[in-house]
Amino acid sequence: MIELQNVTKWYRTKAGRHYVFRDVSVTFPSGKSIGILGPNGAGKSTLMRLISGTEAPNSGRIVTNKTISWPVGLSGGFQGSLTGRDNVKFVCRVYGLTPEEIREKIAFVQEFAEIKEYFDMPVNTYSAGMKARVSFGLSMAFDFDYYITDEVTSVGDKSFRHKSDKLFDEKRRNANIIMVSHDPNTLIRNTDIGAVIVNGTITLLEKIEDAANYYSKL
Amino acid sequence: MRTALQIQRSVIFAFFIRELRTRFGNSRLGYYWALIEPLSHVLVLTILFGTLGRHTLPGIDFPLFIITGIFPFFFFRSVADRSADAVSANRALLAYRYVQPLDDIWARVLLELMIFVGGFLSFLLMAAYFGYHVAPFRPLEVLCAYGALFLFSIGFGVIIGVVSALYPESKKIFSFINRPLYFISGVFAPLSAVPAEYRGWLLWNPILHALELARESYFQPFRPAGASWNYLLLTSGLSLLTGLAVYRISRTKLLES
Repeated sequence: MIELQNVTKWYRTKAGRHYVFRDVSVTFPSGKSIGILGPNGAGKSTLMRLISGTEAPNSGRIVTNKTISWPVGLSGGFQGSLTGRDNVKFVCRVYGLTPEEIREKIAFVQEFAEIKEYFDMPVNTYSAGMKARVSFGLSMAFDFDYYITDEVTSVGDKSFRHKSDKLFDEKRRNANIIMVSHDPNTLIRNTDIGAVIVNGTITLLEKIEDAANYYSKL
Repeated sequence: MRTALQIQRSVIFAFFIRELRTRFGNSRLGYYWALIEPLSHVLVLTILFGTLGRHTLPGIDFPLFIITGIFPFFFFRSVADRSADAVSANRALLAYRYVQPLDDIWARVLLELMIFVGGFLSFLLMAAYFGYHVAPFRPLEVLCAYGALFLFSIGFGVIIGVVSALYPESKKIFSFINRPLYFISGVFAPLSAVPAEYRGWLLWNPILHALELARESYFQPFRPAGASWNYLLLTSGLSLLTGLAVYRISRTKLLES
């Protein structure tokens, strides 16, 4: 369960406060993957950041007893001067893993990413594809209740894409995803319930098909 | 579930290891650099002012005088320098929910503290080996003066880190202020060597107070010239308070990417 309690979020702009959410309360039930719909600038990514705990609301609370991932495949957090291995270690340490667990995660990422000796080279020598392989592998090395993802989760060539899709599907047997997309069909394929963001409010619909329908009529 | 304290500890530890790597590189040689820089300052300053020091600082070994000033000063300078991009450079890491904007500053402060302790002690050992009398006169007061300077540096570092994350241009101003501090903080000369009419101006600088007071407590024959514990403790407290207040006010803004 993820519960937003009277959440208000605004950003300071030159024209004063821009409210993204005003006193929003909504409860996402457990065990369902959530699709988030909304026009550009409605607050889809803000909602994701609030749920993932990256940003705090200006007032109100977000309560959950579930573990929630960082955005899947995030590589912006990699320090370019450090090796892939050291970056993986860094994230493991942030999550408070024991040395033994860290060794396991590293072995997993190293095997999954298949970038051979580059794993021990500075990340700023990586191609975009190599970075994506490491960061996707890193996301998959952790077990979360919810994985946060946008439409493009899979990267790289065909065989790698196949491999990562398979792995992600496996993960999803015991976990759910929270997904943002403009494309209703992507969400219908991947998620169960829908949250439609319009004018600073969130409407939760039990079926993603209904949500997609509702959104298309706006 | 981990407690907040456990989370904080593991995040700072993660940053600390990373700072260790980026600061010293992967080679052992990197660690020696942390000693070579202060060593060169001690040598050059002793050659330049050593004979002069015998008149202005009777009964005090000049190299020791430098050591007691250069290490705390370098601590301040490094914390101030390295905090400047500690907040802004790590914004992408905020996506990992346990990472908070100031965590890298704490890690860097911890690292600088270890460099201070390690460098200071090994220089004292070295001086003792060469036959200098290295034991401090009133050790607790020395610790107190250094402790106050650390608090001052930390507060100052947080202010610099937060302000330059919000206003990147301000970084230049801070490094501009930072540069002449070496010459007006009493690193290589006591305040008593400065003509009395200029002392009042120099005494605005809390670092000078810290170094003077530390030396007064370290060397029995040292003659103080106007440094005050009250001023040092007050500015340290104010610096820390201001730093934390500046952070608290802009925290939501710092978290926005």
